[in-house]
Amino acid sequence: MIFDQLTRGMQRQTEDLGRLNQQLVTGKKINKPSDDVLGMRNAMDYRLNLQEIEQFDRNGQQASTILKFTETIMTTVSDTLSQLSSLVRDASRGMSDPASRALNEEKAKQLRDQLLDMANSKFGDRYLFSGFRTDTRAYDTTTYNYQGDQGTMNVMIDKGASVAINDPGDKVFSKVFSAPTVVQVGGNFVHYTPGAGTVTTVEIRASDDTTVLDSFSFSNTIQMADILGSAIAAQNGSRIDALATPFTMIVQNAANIQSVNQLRVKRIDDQKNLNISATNLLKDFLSKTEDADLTQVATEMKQMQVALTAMQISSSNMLQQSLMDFLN
Amino acid sequence: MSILGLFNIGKSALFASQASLSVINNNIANVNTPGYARQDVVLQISNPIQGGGGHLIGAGVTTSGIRRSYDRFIEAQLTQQYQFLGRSTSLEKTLGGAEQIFNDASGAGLQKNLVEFFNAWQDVATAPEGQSQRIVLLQKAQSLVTNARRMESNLVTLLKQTNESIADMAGTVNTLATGISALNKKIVQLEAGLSSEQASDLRSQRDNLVNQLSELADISSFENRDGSLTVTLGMRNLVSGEKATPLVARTDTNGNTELSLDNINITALIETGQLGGLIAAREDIIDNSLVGLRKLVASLTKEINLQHQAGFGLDGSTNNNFFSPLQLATGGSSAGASITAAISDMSQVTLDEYDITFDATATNYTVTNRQTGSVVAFGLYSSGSTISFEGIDVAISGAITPQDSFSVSPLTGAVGNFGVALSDIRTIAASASAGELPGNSSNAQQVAQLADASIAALGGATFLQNYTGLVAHAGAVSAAASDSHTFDDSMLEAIRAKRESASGVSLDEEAANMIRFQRSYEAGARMIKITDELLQTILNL
Repeated sequence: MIFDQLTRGMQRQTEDLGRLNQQLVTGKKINKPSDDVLGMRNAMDYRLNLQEIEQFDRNGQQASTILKFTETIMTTVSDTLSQLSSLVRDASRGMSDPASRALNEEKAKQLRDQLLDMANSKFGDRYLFSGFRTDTRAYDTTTYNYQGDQGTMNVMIDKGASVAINDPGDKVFSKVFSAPTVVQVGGNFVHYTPGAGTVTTVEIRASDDTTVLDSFSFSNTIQMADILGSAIAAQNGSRIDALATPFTMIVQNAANIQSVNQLRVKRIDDQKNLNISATNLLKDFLSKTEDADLTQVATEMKQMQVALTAMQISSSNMLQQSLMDFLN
Repeated sequence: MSILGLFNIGKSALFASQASLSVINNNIANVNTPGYARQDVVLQISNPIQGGGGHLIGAGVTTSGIRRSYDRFIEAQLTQQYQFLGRSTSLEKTLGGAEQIFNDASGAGLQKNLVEFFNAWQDVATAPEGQSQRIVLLQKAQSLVTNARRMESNLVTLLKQTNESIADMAGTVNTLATGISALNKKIVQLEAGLSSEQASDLRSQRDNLVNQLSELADISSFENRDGSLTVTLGMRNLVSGEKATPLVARTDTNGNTELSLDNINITALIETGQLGGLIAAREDIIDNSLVGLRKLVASLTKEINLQHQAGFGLDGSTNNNFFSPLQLATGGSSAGASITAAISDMSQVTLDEYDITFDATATNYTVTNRQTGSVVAFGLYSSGSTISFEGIDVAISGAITPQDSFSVSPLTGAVGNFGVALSDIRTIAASASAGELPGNSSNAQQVAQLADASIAALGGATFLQNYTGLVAHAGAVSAAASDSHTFDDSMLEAIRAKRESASGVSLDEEAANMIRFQRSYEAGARMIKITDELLQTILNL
């Protein structure tokens, strides 16, 4: 009887020692679901949230990189457009001087090509301003026509929250007039009429606002720059003047696009900061749930070893005692 | 009384002491024998005889029998506790094995694979034209498939081992039952004609076998008037007198070992003992872990494929399955008919299992959802027609006989057939539109968002919630089994302590008795010597 009790007691102590030893080896107090069912469930939830946040962070990082890259492009685009806008004023003034005319024409071409290069920027293999057609150049290099679509790519940065990472070229380089507009320039009436797609038809009418003196159309700023170059070469002052308003407007549009971009980056940064606090909190919860308190485990283990040794010594003494020992 | 009568008294004292010493010796010899009950000699005063002067004079001592220290109530408690402990031991061992398969704490489970799979879809959604993201997605999907299949294979192996254990244990039950029946025979023979004497040693042996049997199955036993013990299992006689009926283990159509006595299936009636534990653990693993895993994989296959089919690959292809499509497993018992089942509308499939039964006329059929118990279709069957219900078409070939029954399950092969159907990364349908390639990634986003979608077939839980539920269940039942094992073990220890105090051999007590009877033997011998001296005195007159 005593023997049975002692063996069972020692077995139990050894099992407990084994359990503590496992905690020491793995550093975790939950080594299998049945160790703490609720704890395990919570730990799985925490780990799931951590993995989700990590993914959203990775998405955010990717989106942020693209948006920041776009931002540098947009800065140059804005700068180029501002230069074109200035060129319209300069060209109008220096038209009589052939040298400055040639220079301005060259400037217009340079700026047009620069704009074309910017509009056809690539991030990795992706054309930034082609909408969903990321494998297609946004603008044709000879006709300057837009070849992309109106797609906006979104990246998930949190559950149910996504951020757009691109603006289709039409929105950045084309959108000028949303309604028919009339501007009086130097006694002429200039009619800007938005047509199908992004085409804007410009009519320069005489002071009677009826006689059409000149008309042309463009779909985007690159074409505008191209027209400006030709107008400078042709000494077409009224056409140059007619381009002033669209250029001013497109400069404003680019600035708007830039600020929207900045807001997107800011949003991702804010989300990232939120994610950092959430991650810290979750890691803390996870650690509290599944990590073993090593000091406590080591102390318990020492206590248990002492108890086991005591039991071994006392049992050997107890098992020796029998009346049989006293009989001769 | 003559002087010679003194010899008889002395002799009776010697015999009584000798008998007691033999019993003490036997007790000491069996000090470590399991189930042995301490015995002692019942001494009785011999009938007095009439001496000189008409007085009755004592005639020494006789042994009226050997008594076993046996408490029927404690033995009954012990038997029952052995059954409980047997059950919890099996449950702890088997469910502990199942728990290890779902052990996400050691990185063995499926959670990591599931999250990484959905995260890979997000990577594709972020860069739909990227090749590396698509390659990673296929790799992650493959890991998910491999791990799910490994888990199922481990569960199936565990169930196979459980079934083998049940069959082996049935063999042990039979050996023990045969042992009891043989002892019954000997006890009846020995005790026949002895009114007060019991075949104590044989009874102790039999008790020990009954206890061993109790550890295996929830038997009941009662003693007959002739001393034989009848043992019942599942309300049938396992041992009756000298006859032991073999417990037969058979494998049913699902591969489960079923137990029968007298050709009656008693599997469901065995609740305790190691057999009861194994049967309960098997049921729990099949109903929860195995079916749960299969249902999770089946719903994942269904939902991902449905969403994937709606999208377009970089090559413009559409309506492609991402995972190998679900296949329906069919079964049934019919003399001449067999069925084939196909999915007609995946979006309608509930992922429940169905039973199709025909009535006694073999003309009317009823389709019952096995999980909800509701009838989903019924009607008059005309030969060659298709039975359609909840997105499934069933065709029957051959002649239907009355009471035919068939089963259709989308779950049985769900994990076995689980695989990645796509091999060309360009066919991964990230785009929601054929005209918006390659930048449109809204379909990939939709797939990624399925991670948080409430899935009807999973009771409204998300895939990951459902999986966490499976892990928690495996952990909870294993913890409960472990707790009850600790409790049953302590209970058994307490009852055994009680039994030991009532029936156990104490070496100290036996040693003390040994001295006592040694001394009385010596005294008896001295009495014979004195009687001899008295006789010598008389002879010398």
